[in-house]
Amino acid sequence: MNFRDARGYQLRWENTGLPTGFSNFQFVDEHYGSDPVLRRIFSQARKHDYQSVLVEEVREPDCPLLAEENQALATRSPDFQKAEVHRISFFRSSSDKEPQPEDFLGYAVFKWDHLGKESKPRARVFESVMCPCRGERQNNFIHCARRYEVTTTLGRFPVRGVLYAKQNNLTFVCAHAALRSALACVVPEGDISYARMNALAGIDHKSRCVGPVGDKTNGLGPEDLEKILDGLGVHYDRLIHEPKLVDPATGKPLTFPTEYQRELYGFIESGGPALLGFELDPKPGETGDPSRHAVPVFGHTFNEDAWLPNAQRAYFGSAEAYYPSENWLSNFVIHDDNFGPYFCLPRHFLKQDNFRLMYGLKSAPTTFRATTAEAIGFNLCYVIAQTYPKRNQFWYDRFSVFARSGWLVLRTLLLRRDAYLADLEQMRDREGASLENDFCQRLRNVLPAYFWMVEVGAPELYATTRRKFGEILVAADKPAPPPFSPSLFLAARLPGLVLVNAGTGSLVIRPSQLRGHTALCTAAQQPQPCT
Amino acid sequence: MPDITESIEKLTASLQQLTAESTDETQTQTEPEPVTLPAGELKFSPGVEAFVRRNRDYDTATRSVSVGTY
Repeated sequence: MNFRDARGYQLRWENTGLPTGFSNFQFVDEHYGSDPVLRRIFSQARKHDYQSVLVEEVREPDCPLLAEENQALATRSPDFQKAEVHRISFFRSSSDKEPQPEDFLGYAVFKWDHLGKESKPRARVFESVMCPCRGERQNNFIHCARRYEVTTTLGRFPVRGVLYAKQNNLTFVCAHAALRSALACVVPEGDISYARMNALAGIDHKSRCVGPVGDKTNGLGPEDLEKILDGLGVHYDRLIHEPKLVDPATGKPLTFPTEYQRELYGFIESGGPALLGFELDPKPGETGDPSRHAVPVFGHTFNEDAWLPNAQRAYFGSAEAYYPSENWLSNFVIHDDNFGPYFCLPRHFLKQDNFRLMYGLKSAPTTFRATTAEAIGFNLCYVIAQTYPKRNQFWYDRFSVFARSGWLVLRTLLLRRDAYLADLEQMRDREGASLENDFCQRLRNVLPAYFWMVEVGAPELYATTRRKFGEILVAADKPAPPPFSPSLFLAARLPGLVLVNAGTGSLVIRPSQLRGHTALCTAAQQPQPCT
Repeated sequence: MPDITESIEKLTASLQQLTAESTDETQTQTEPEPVTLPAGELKFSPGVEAFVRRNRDYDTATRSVSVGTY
């Protein structure tokens, strides 16, 4: 049983609305040791205009997860004595009303660990799930948020968000906390305990410990992270950038060949979270390799008036003959266990020089990543437009012009067949035309369970109205190219036509009544627990 | 001053040509018949092939690399 389900003992239920004079600062200073992460969580509740806070004690006999955590601490630090835990819940309703499900804004679990040798307990936010303050109307997109339910003394309440966790630097470190947030987005249970992660990684707090040991601080390495991911059966891609290492085969540094942000966006836009590891700037006097840190990345912001797409190409030398939709991304949305939940990481802040490691979690195995799928999709667009430059149809002909002029916008998602077909069935152009039923059935017959969808648009369609000319479907389970195999191409839907690769050696292009532009797919933005 | 006009001019001229043709009464909108595209014509352009090859080769080269702790 976790902290969300454990019985609580009510300590206080206070009104917090601004007219009451309640001060977040004062409350956190007086009761929670001025903890900065908790102050941020309270500030997020304030942004939601919260009206009351419920504080409950959670006791070890009522919460097996707490007992498990305490046992790990006792093993790691024989002077561990006891822990105290508060579950703090935030409501839009004041304490004179019965809260309704929609009043619940989220919760935080605050834990004090008492160690005999230390004068003060070690205190921290153990976990939190808060409803994000900004959503799609504010151009914030968090595709992998999950629904959690919390049992309180006021009833059981739902909250949708991404689980935040903070390291204790004794039995779990930043990589544990980051991986827990990422895994919580994809594992069926919606969460994972540190005990399970440590068991999978071989950390027993005796023969192998994390955190400070002597004059060193031990963390998790890539092989540990992969033991956990593999042990849970989670699909992932790993990317590394280690410019101080040399590839023995070529003698060249192991520098990641493309911008890591494009790869990161590919995972996020497909509805999966990612774990991002980076190297810190060296501290004055620090010897040895600089420290590293890991954060979970699970969302992004979008700026429809971004200057970057045009400027990057015109002024800064990019020779790409299309615009990746990632060009309109402003920030990644992350948690940082050191600072709290839901921070925006500007796309260009964390530079390639600092990037070291990425695990992108996926809903299905793939043989190559979104950037390669997008390159294949672009190539196919160009071939189609060159082969059939004009069909005397308004929107197809514009697709063709934009493709041949290098002005397409491409957005690539890993998609389930059922999600794609459901999207197709409700798809309409501005004239109200839909795709013919026999095409939907034909696609149902030939498409695999998962594939890459490369959405094809123009800058003003994509950024302004979130619409597209159509999409190219690329196999996700064929060997990574090159060489190019025609089997990589599954199907294409463009204005007024559909191509399906039935594997006969030639692709039949059939006219369709769906001749206009259509809305971007949102199917990948639904949570997709691992299969 | 960077010359950014070539790409814009190409797109603009192509769209203007389309517009002119669509208003030309001698052009008639006909429903295209099904046509085929030989699968063998689906080949990588040199730029795309170089890009995907670089990605694949890097993945292969780094598959067993495991350094650093977090």
